[in-house]
Amino acid sequence: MKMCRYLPLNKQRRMLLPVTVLLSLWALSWGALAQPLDKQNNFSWHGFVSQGYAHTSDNQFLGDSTDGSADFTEAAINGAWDASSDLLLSGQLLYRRAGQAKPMGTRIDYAILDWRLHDQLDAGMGFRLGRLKNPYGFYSETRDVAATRPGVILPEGTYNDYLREVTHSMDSVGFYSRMALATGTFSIEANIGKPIINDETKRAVLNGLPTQGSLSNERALVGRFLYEQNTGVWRTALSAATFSANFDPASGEPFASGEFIADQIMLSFEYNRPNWQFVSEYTWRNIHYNRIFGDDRIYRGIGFYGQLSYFITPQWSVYARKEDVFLDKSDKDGQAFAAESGFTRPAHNAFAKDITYGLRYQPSRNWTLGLEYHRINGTSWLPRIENPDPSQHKRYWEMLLAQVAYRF
Amino acid sequence: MHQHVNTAPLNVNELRAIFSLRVRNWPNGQPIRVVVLDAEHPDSLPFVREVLKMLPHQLHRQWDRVIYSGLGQGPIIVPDEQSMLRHVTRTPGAIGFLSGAGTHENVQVLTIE
Repeated sequence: MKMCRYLPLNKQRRMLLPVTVLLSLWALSWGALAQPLDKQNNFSWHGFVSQGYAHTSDNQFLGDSTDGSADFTEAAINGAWDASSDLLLSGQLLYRRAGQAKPMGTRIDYAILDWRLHDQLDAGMGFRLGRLKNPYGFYSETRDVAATRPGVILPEGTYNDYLREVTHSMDSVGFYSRMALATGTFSIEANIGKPIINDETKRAVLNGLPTQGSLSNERALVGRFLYEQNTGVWRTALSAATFSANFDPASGEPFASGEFIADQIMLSFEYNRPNWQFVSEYTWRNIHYNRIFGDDRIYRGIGFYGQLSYFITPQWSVYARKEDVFLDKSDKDGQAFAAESGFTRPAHNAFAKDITYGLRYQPSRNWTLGLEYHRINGTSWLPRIENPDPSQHKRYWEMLLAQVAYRF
Repeated sequence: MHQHVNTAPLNVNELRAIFSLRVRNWPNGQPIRVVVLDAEHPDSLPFVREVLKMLPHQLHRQWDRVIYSGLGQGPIIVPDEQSMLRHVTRTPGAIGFLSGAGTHENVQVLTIE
């Protein structure tokens, strides 16, 4: 392919080449009866597969990474079927292995019945029912699709893997709507339902402590306002998620029955130039432990990242990302956290500061190859399942990640 | 061109809504089928940049969201102009593009406002 540099938008002139937009003869026959659907074209299927490799100087991430780990595989196959002009059915089977993270193996990632009540060029709205992807930030909905992530992995502190089930997908009812404005498109989405909980979520609920206890009455509400400027130069979003569950400890455990609530708000912004992209997201995460640790406890966490990417060519890009996350903004160095645990937990469990440099090569729409290097100070998002002993956690560590991904 | 078809002109925002896969049906209820040239085809980029006036990676991001979170049908990606013409001709509700001006049998040519 001839290499074409993108023109700056303000230098775009009238068409250099005449381009003709074609329509099938049936498309705009106003008032004519809808043609019967062409059977070949009302079903489509897609999928992806990716394989990653992780090597860390200390601490384990995505497997036994201090020795080098290839335990990072994602694969999925999906289908979408237009059952009628206002009804869409879609589903995706996902296989995921990310170190020892749960859930491991194959499961239904989404299964959606989408009923579009209103569908015009300038506005639309509808309802969804089933296992839905949650609209949270820019990346939650496609977080397992390597090519859609801004790097090999998402910013871990912001898109926390151990809380992923809370914001990722859930059995729910959802509403969506969109409206075209003169300069862009505004959309609102919200889902309410029951998150899919696993053992790791339980541990996350107990701030990393192991438990044989149980969660019940778990529920979540996730919503997002999104504005996308017409030409794709910028977009911004405000997302909110609230998750709550009742917790009952197993007999003999040093916890009490109580309630866990996680309230999160995320502000997202992206700015694009033909050869540059800047993305930033800022999160507020308030975690309430009501009675579980005896008293009522609140952690007011914050996290943010900024990433600058440069497209050397349409195929090659480099990026740098800075991400900081704190379990409690009034205890950024974690000293109070360590004291509260009776010094069984290191202070650096309460924060993580990560600097990432990456290289990406996308030779075609199907293939994505990525390489990135992390320098990390802190261990707040270290998976507890792979690093069970807090006294072994190393505050300063480095990580090298590589990934090959294919999608169709 | 088919003489009995009333073709309404589309403005660029409406065209973006269609090619970003935001809208599923034509006003008559016919499902929209978006047909695009493979990104490596030399005519793909001029269409995105000069007709839609969009950044290509932003358009692709919209497709990814639709395809991999179950929101609808992805575009039909074709390798060359012959298959573009064939798909648009044979698929009810299809919309596509070709470089160059001119008329083609069995398809409508659309006016962009």
